[in-house]
Amino acid sequence: MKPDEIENLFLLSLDTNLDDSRKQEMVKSMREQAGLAEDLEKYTRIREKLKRNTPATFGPYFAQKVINHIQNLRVEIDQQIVFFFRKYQLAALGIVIALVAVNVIFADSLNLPSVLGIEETVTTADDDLLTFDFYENITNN
Amino acid sequence: MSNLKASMEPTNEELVERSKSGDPQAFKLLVTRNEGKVAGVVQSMLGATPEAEDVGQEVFVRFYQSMEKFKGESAVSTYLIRIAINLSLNEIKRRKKRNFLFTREEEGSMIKAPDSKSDMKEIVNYEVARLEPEFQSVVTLRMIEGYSTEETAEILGIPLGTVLSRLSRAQKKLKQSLAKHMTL
Repeated sequence: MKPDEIENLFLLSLDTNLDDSRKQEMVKSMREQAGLAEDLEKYTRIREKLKRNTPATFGPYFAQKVINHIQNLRVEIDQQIVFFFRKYQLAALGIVIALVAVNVIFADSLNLPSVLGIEETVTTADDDLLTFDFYENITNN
Repeated sequence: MSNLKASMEPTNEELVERSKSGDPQAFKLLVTRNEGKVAGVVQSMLGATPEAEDVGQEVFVRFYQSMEKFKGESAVSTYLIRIAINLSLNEIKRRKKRNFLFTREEEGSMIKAPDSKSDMKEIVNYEVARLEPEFQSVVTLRMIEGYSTEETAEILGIPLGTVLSRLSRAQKKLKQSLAKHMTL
């Protein structure tokens, strides 16, 4: 067995039940390679030093801080939505102001309908509405 | 009696369902119950720093935001640890970038360098924090937090063989770096 294979087998043996044949193979290989066995022993000592002995914690009121964080996040999202649409609201307002200004500039008279661009009713003389008879004009002439 | 009490307590999955339907107390209980596991991973990778707590909070906030998508294919704790590892790796990258910009040091770790008064545990933690991130995450899960090789592979989403080879290489690196400080 190659040293890397023995090492992997050793690592697996720490949390898995190896079958007897693999276990024997590992022990035999470790006996044959004294240097490797020494290394594996060192690794075991490193592991012992690394292992956590006391439970980890972020300190008091951590859960409450998380809940507050989530609640603040909701307010932030609401504000972001308002801010996101605000620029569209401002753009629309700008367009309306520009259109009113155009209407004021080109209006014949400064009254409310003309400023707001409401269509004005056009009054014409009754004579203008009479139809022009083209054939009658020809025969008369 | 304690068995009866345990059987009456809601599971993580039940707490997720209750949280989805808008029960903040259920989510608070879920945080309290999983804080230790998340803190273990984050503090092993970043040290017990204020940033570690921020990352810890972010883990649960991200989980809360993605809770609707959580289908229960893996355990809640596995899902949380996966988020914790990813956010810790991001924080390490950020630190490296920041240190590179301001001090030109490529150290991602905020763990204090050991001095003559440091004990073995501090020295080992310092050397683990100096490992490359892919080794650090494997060492944190398997060697510090005690997850099995299979669980480590599941959390990191990598094959079992990759976990074993990373562990093996990490051990060799640790052996070399620790030899400078102590006789093993």
